Amino acid sequence: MLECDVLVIGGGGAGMRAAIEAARLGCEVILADKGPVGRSGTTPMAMEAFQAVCLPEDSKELHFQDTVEGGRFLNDEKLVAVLVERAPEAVKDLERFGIRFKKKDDGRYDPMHHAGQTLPRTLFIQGGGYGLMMGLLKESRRHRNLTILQDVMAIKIWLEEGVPWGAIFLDLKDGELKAMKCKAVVLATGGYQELWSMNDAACTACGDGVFLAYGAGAELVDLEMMQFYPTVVIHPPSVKGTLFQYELVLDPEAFAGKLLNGRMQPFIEGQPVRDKIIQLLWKEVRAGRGSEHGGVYIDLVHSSKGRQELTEALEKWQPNQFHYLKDMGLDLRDSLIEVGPHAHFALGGIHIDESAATTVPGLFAAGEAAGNLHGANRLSGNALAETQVFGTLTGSSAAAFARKRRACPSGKFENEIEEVKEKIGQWHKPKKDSLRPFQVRQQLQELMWEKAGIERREEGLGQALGVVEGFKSDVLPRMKLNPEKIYPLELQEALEMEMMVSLSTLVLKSALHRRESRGHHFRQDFPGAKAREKVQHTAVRQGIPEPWGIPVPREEAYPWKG
Amino acid sequence: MEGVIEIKVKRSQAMAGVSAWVQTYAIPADRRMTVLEALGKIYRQKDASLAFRRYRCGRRLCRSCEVMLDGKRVRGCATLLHPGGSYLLEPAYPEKTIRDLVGEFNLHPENS
Repeated sequence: MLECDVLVIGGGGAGMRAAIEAARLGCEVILADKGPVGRSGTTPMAMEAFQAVCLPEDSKELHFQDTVEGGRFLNDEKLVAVLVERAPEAVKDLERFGIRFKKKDDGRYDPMHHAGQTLPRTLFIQGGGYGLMMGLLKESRRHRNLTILQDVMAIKIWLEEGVPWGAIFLDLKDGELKAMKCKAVVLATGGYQELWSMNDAACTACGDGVFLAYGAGAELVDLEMMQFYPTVVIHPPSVKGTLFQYELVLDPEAFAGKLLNGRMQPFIEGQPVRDKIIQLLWKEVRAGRGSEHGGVYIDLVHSSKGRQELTEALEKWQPNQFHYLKDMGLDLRDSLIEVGPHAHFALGGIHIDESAATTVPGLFAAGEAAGNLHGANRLSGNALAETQVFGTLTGSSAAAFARKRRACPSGKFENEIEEVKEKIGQWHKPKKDSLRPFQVRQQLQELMWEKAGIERREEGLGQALGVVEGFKSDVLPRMKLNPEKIYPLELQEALEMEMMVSLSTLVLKSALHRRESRGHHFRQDFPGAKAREKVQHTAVRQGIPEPWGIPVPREEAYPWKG
Repeated sequence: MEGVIEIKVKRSQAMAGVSAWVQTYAIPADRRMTVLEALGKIYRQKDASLAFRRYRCGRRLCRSCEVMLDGKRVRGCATLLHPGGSYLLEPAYPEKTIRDLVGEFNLHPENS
């Protein structure tokens, strides 16, 4: 059996940074990813934006204020303080790893001014999230004590007396169930956007780590908070799900374009942040003023920039998107493209503290899997900054925890593996009215989009909860899998479905619990927001049937200047 | 034939000692679609046993969906197939194939 000091589950930006840090501190580290590192998860899909204070006239106080105002005061301010204080040094780390940021000719940083920022603060990573991953992968090779396992899916945290000692895995490469021992676990598996039919994230963003943390007894927070991104291509199907940055469309310095409704009328003024723009956009669609496929149009055809200047801007700011869409038959300079809101970023997730520790000793979480940093709305650029700041932090926290711990006990994980085998065996048995896992996924996703999407109300959420509870007893057992053992895609999907159904019930309960509208959680039946001093996180934990509220921590070092 | 895309997939189970074979699928199509979209259709509508990588970075960067199309290495997310066409898909790197079109990615790209 494989053994290590620190086990990192998830190999995106946060997981890789955590693994590098723990390895740098001398730990034996194993990083396990459901796919190939750099070619799975959500980081490689990320845009170029990395928010960190870099101009002399800017300050960490302003980054803090912008972030909590953007987050609609639901951010855990202790975590925001960590983010703003450490983001600039995270940039320096990345530069040491060979990752490059866009700079002016004189060598100074060239930050963009994104929505929600008092001053320009968005650094532009060359190569975007994919460039970040390639740099981290290169850096990881310097550490011989870091082992990367690809195409392995963690199914369960292995606990002894409530404390994690390892994990049970499905190795997709040979279809075998395996166990791994460790002294500390870092969860960095990303978000749970796959719960919604319209999402622009990886098909693997099923909330694995959030589910694993829940199963291990950790507290989760604000699961109802799913950030929707306004402008994702909805037609044609071949490029559906491709994100195009509205920030650049509306920026007169960048593309100088417009968003138009189905009647070709502009409906947005200025550059609103994401939760605001979603509401404006959805209002058009709901009023019957949407585009043919139920969205709106991006119009760069009538950009106030000339064709030459627009081409240069597209080449400068979104070269990959521009060329990709062009080759697929959508030239943004000649035709409008249809876009609509998609589930984009899981704001909620695992509850962590300033050391990135969860409520379970020895279990740490970073990046999108963690839940209390961004509040009810995330500013552009704070996601990649989060992966690096909190990735580094989990790496050092997990390393410190592992060092203090005695050797792994001789555990009885064989029993746990047998349990999983038995469950899988049931899925392979012939049955009447069988369903393939992808069919169950579609049913769940459509329900979640319909009842727990951009607009929510008690009745719909309650109905959906009843239906999803029924999935556990009536639908999941009807899954019938293809028997291929090597790279068992259907088995992976079935295991993902189990996680997704469980998480959906928690998301729905959390959405019912929050009887107000805040950021991306819009309750038609409770359109107002509570006062800042009364804002609470929504907490859930295994063994406690209903969610409860906990006060949002405030940071005295950064007093609110409202 | 109009309205159909014919796709021949070179399949294999090297690890199970099964040698490669070619399987032909016909997908009804009234428009162009990417290789990745077509593979999804085969998997969902025709053959649950087909192994391919579903992932798409959306930016034509990551090579997760790389395959050999009629002898040429392409990115499945950004290569269009046309109604009436007939195509052969093979693993991008046969020596690293896990099953069908799924290959193992080397962690040391300089060696790959």
